[in-house]
Amino acid sequence: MRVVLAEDLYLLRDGLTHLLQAHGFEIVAAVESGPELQHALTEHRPDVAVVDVRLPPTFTDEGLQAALSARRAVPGLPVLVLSQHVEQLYARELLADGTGAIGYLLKDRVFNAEQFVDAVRRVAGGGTVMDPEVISKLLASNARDEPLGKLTEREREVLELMAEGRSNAAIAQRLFISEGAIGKHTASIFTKLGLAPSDDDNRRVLAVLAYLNGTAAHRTGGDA
Amino acid sequence: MVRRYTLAMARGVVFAGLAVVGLLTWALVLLALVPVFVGLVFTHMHVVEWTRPLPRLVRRLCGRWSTVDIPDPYRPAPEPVQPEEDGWYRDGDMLYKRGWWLNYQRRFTWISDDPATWRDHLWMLVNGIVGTVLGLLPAAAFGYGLLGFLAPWQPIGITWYAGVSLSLAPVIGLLVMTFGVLSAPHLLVAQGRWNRLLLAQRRPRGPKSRPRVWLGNRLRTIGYGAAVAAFGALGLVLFLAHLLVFVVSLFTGLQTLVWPPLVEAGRSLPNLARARVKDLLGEEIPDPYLPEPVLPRPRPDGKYQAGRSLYRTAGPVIRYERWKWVMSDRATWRDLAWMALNTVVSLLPFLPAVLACIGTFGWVFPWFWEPLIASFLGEPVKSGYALADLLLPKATVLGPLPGVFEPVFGVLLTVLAFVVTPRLLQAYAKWNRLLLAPTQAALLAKRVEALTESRAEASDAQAAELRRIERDLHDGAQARLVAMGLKLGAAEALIERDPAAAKALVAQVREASSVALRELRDLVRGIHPPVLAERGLVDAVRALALDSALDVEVAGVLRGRPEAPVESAAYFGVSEVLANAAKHAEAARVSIELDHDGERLRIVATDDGRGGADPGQGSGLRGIERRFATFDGTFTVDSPVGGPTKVIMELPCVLSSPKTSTSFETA
Repeated sequence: MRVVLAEDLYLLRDGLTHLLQAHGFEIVAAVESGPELQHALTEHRPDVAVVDVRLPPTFTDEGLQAALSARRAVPGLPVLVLSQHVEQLYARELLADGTGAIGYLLKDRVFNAEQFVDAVRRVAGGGTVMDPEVISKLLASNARDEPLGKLTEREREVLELMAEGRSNAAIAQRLFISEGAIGKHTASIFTKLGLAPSDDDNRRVLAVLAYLNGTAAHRTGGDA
Repeated sequence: MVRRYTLAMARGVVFAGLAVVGLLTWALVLLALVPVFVGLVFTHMHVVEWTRPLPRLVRRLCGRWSTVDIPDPYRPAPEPVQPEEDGWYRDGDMLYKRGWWLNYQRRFTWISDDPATWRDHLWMLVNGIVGTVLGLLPAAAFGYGLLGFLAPWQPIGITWYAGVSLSLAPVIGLLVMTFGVLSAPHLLVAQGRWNRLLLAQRRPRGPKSRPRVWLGNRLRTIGYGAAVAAFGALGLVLFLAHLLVFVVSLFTGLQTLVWPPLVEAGRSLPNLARARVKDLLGEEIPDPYLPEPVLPRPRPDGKYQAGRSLYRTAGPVIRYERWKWVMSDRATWRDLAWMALNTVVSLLPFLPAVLACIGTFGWVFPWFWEPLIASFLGEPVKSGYALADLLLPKATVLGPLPGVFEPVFGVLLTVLAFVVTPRLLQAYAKWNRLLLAPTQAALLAKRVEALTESRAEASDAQAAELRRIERDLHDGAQARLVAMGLKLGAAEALIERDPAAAKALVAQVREASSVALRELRDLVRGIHPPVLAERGLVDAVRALALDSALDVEVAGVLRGRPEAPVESAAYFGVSEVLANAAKHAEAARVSIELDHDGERLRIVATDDGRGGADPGQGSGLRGIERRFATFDGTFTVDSPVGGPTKVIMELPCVLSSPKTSTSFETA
């Protein structure tokens, strides 16, 4: 699997390169600035790009902008964005095109190599991976949402994991319950939130994220 | 039948009696003003309150006798004040141990603010004549008629009656008597209607016609101009007082003791004038005086130094400093020059009043009234200005004009007065500004003072911020790194003997590093939020809005970015406002508008909460206010109880052009 890596700190770039190579990824380019990334993305057309938000030369959100513009040029280009901090604002922008194959994680998550590599694979496979911190912020800012309030404690847990982009099997494993039970919970969640049920993992997570971001169709009419 | 007319006549007499009582009461109220002039302001309220039963009685009688119902127009009496939980009585920012003083003040404003109070008094004065005439007329006519009727018998030695022969007198007398009797009930009703004019609540009038508004405004302006002249005279008195005190104190050596307090007190007159200029020109004249001297500090040996003298106490030094302060302030001398010159200049706005008086009373008035008065007196009025001479000694100075021109010129002069009066007042205000506005030096001195203060606050705040960061790092990340190092060391030692335990330790270290990172992230967010650095103010505010549990709407575009410190201050301002809206205001929605007008960044945040926010109470808002002050920014909270709360933040700044390299859309 071919990867473009963009990270300006040498140590981290090197560490990530080793980590990904150790898990069988091929690093086609490891760059350290926005323009280079832009160039690498269009030239190599990687299977997945792992991108730091803040890059030289301006040290603002160059990485994010490069990722977004590359995805405009190549819709569905898998990009996993890494950052020292997560912002709902950025998550929204990354999710805006609704095509999936996107990831947004705190840099801390690379500590757990297994999970991180799994996330890279999921993104490369067209999945959506959101940092738990993004999801908890999303839920906190939707605290006054009525349908969300109707969820049971367990359903809420399932919703959080679902929103992070996990499959039923992964959620079941995490919560120590059967996959069938998770299926029932997700069905109930979708009914309570008024979303069309979907068996496809990817479409399901996008629907949930769209709901939480307040961009789902039924919420555009405005609610209390 | 007979009873009805007799009663009506008797009631008229009662009304007349009450009218006389009213007139006396009015005189009493006027007399009661005397203590006011010696400072006993609050006694007057009682006197005024005690007079209310009289109009009340008349209102009741009007309802009962004249079939004209007049409800009492007074406002409801104020509720007595209630103590707060701690037993103190609060009024604005003042606390009182006992409530009587507050109750007194409330009653005072209740009485003095009620228009009915002043209408009552006007009624007492005017009714003294109108009420007496209306009331007595029937009875007097009856009596006078009776006299005529009985004239042939010469009951009290009358030998003539109303200029008619005694034989006709009974007939005329009878007519007059009949008039008196028949008119009594009607006049009683008229009495009631007349009373209703002033004693009932003033009926709300529709919008005034434009000429009336114009006339009212101009009349007020003319009166105002006349008041200005009085002001000028006061200035002269004050100027002479200054002069006298200055000279005397210099000779007696008491200048440091007497002069500064006098100058300070004397400033209230120019200050009044400054406030008036603001009314007239709409622009404020800033306070022109140099800042007060700071309190002296003792030298190392405990003495205080003034010039080359040393003193044991601070008193003489303070007096010396204050003397220097008023003497070196150019505004002091400009004020004095203003007082002297203003005496003459203030006659200018007085001119319209003089013109209008000469025009109306000197020329128009006599033309109408002289013939009437002459025919009444039966002899010609002294040629020229009989009335004018009474009212105004001046018209004679201008000399008599040929007959018909007098009223024409009079009208012209009055109209002229009405037309020019606002311009004269404007000119007068500008003249005031000339001497009363601060000089450049005073403005700079003030600016230096403000800057010193805000710089001190800024460096204090910065020091506190650094201390907080140091503490957070010390107790947080640093401590965790130490713990991680210890655990790694332990793992290293265990790795061969007990790989499972070592693995567990390493897992703990990883967990600890995550926590440390999270703490650092929060710390960084508090110092300078990454999203602000990456995206600039508008997007950072959007990020705040998304993170808020409230429904926050952000509108606005900035073409470029303000300087980093300003941007950061604005960001934390909005952050604090949002936190307050969520925590205290119980708001559901907030709208935030950002905008830059070329000179200042302006952020307006409006919520739909319950209001009542006071920047003086919340330390958060106060901190933001201070932070803004460093940039000459303003932080205004408008939060009436019940909401909505509107916070306006303004920060002067320039926007740098956006960095092109951040934009990939164009690449």
